[in-house]
Amino acid sequence: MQRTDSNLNEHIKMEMLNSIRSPQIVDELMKALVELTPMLDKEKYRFRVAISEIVTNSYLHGNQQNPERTIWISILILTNRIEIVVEDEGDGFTESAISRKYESDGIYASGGRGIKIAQKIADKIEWYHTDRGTFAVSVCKYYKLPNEEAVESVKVKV
Amino acid sequence: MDIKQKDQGDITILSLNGRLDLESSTRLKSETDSLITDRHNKLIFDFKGVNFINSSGLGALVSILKNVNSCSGKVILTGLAPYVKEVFEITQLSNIFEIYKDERQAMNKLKSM
Repeated sequence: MQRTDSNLNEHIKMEMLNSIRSPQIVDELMKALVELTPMLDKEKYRFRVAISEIVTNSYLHGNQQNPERTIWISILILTNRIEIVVEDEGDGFTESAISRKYESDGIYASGGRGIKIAQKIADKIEWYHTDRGTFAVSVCKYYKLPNEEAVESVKVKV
Repeated sequence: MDIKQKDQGDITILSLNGRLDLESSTRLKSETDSLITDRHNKLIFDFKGVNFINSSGLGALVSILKNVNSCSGKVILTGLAPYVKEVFEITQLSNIFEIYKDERQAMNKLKSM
């Protein structure tokens, strides 16, 4: 299903206790919410993977699997894009720390790919410390409309 | 995630069904490690039923691959949906995993070893 509503404007906020099931719970919600957007099906799946990586990172590394900590999710669905902000109670990470882990462990590393995958999928990804002391990761994806996909396909063939 | 095991000679086929993510990857790794310990080191993972994978699932598979390689075995993945395969390509893991379209091709490859 692809919705073509020109006045898309939904803002959803939620908070959840840190749990191994948090990534799946958020993904089930995302699976329903991306259907409200005009995203192409393959873009919907990619975006769900990106968000899953961020929430998994919050559960494992940010909140360090502590069930007493919280994950906050903010979902903004607009006419041309979808933006998700995931916050946790951790110390956060830096670009250099991500690159260092990825490069030092190499392709056979059993971890360290999550944020890199999200970076490759999202159109814009930012992270920052908030005024209330949480660490936030913001992920944005602009909708690629079917006609844009067709243009890209022609470019590839040429 | 549901994991079904089928043995054909010295080849073990594991049919996965559901999500391969943080929660299920630990179980997949643990069950596969037990198989490897029992000398099942020619493994085919049938992904036809996998509808979601993220880096946690990939991490478990890489760990299994390392374990199998260390005992001169082989891991082959089959039946990946295009969107699942894309995650392997994004991470360049398609360079280290042998990926075949279907189980028959994978069986032929392993039988020729």
